[in-house]
Amino acid sequence: MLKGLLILTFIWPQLLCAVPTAKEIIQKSDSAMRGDQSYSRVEIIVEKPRFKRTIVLDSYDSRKNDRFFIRILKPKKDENTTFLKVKQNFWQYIPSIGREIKIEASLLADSWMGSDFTNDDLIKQVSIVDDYEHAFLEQPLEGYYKIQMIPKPASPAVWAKIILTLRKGDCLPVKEEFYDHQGRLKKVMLLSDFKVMDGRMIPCKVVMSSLENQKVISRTTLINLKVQFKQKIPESVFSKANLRKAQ
Amino acid sequence: MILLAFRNLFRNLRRSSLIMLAIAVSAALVLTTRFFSYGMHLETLNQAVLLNTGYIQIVANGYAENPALERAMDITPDMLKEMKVAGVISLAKRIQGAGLISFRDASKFISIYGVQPAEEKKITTLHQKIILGSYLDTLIAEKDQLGRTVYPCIIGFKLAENLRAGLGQTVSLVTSQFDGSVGAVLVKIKGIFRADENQLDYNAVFLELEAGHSLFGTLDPGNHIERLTAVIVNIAGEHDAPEVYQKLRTKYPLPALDSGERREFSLNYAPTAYLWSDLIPGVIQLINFDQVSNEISIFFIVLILSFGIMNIVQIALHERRREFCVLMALGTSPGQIYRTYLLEIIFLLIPGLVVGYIIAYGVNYYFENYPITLQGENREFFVTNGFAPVVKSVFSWRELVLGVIWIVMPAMFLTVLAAKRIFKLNPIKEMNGR
Repeated sequence: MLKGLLILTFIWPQLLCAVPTAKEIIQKSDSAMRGDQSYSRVEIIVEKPRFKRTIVLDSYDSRKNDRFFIRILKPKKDENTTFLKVKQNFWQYIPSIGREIKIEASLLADSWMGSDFTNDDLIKQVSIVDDYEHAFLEQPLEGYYKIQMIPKPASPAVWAKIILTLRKGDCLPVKEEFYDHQGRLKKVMLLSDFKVMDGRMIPCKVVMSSLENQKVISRTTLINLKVQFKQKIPESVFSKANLRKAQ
Repeated sequence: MILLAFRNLFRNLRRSSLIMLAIAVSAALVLTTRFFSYGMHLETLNQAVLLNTGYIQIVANGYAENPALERAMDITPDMLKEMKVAGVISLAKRIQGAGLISFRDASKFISIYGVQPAEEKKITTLHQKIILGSYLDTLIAEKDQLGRTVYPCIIGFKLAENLRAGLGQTVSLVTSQFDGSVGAVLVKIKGIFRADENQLDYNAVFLELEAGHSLFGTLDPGNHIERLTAVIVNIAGEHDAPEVYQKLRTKYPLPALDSGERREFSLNYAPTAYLWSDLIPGVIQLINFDQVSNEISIFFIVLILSFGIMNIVQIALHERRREFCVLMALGTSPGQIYRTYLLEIIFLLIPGLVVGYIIAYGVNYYFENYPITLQGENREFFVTNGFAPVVKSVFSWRELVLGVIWIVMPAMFLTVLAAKRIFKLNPIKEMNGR
């Protein structure tokens, strides 16, 4: 007993001041952002050099079971277009032709609905926890973590490098920088307007900008209008039958 | 010296004929190889240009580097009128993008072309490649049981095989529209083509332009704007291409880039005229690569043949060494004998080349007029590697000159080397029989 007490006397400062690893921080951030289950109503504003449009959608995310469902509500021509992801499978239903299409994994890097987000950004096929190696960058900002993520060799990740800036208190991200295989900064995501939604602090505004020659050429703004973490989502939402069901 | 060299040719006709024959065979082989290589490359280029690209296209700045739908040009009727410069017979509008084709459980990522069938027929030859059904120009859209429009389409035969879809079957086309919305149409397969070009046979679907606009969301009737990825220019023939291209390039020049700006991401979408060679760089590279490997093969053929010529020359030298030694003993310098001997070889080279050229031209004439169209596995092999499945020979002055240089230079070089032996001859030893 004395021996245990002595050991505790010497190690308790280290325990109190234990610095989490980069991976642990990313894990905590991912859990905070997504939860085990969530429903959200989202407005997406896409601004490109030659057009601007607004999409409103409902999204259902079951992180535990690796399932995801999206239904487009606006604009009218895209109304009831749905997307379903179940594990490695990804489908899209198009009401205008009454058909569902299976989307191959090779298309994950493609733009989602013409926005600056990719298909993978939305369905989270690539895990930022499991598919990347994490390391702190040498010069962190005061009050923030700065973590570099490099994809693992067998990972299907699109980006060669991602740098995350996260708040130290709650490990929520405020900035993500995406680099291609030539080391060029291609996209920057800024997260802001932090609010408590259904008991969780989350960023309600996400702006993804695409860069070329270090200039912003297009921008997509995602606004969380409503987010629920506690409401149970029925399994029937993540079914192929639900793909075809109109709202 | 010249007269002596000429007379020496007839002193041993067998020897002279042998040397001339060796040169003729070399020339025939090298020239035939070059004419065939040139002919097949020309066929491959013609196929690529006439099948799909046309000789001149007007596309948006940056489209040639980044052929994405977002780089479609905004075209008005007035702009189309301005494009008809002298030498332009007509214009064919085109909208092209990537999308998914889906039939039952199968789906595939493909290229979708919205074209004007009547205008395309004047410029490209795809309508001649229909193997089942018919081309687009005789077809109209239908309505299905649910009142949805079903457009006619033609698809590549390999794509049809992979989808297990046939004539009369309805497939879905899904894409991202110009503004990013989901675009989708139903199409009925009315024709299947075999272009013998992998990119088309495996991955292409052609629709009428109206269907393309519906799919890609590229019509803005309110503003009289039609978004097109290309306007293909119809000209009288290849010979008109450089002149018409210059006129169009003056009117639609390549815009300058800002510092560090990449053309494929430029925010300037102005129409720009392009020549076919700028639009099919892959085919040009393939041909250049093949040409390099052909030159290497020809080099080795020439080397072997040149050594053969050198061998015959050395034997002839050996046979005449006593003669040369007698001449030396009479006061002729080795240099004079050497130059006379070289003149003899040159006098044999010229008729040898002429005979070789006649043989090569004869072979070329036959295969230029009666080329071999490959079938079966050979055809597949050629098409898979990006070449037209036709074995054809075409005469070209450039190939003739290059071929002659290829033969003459090594042959003369090795002959000069062999003839140096004359300087080492010892008249006393040779005349004593040692």
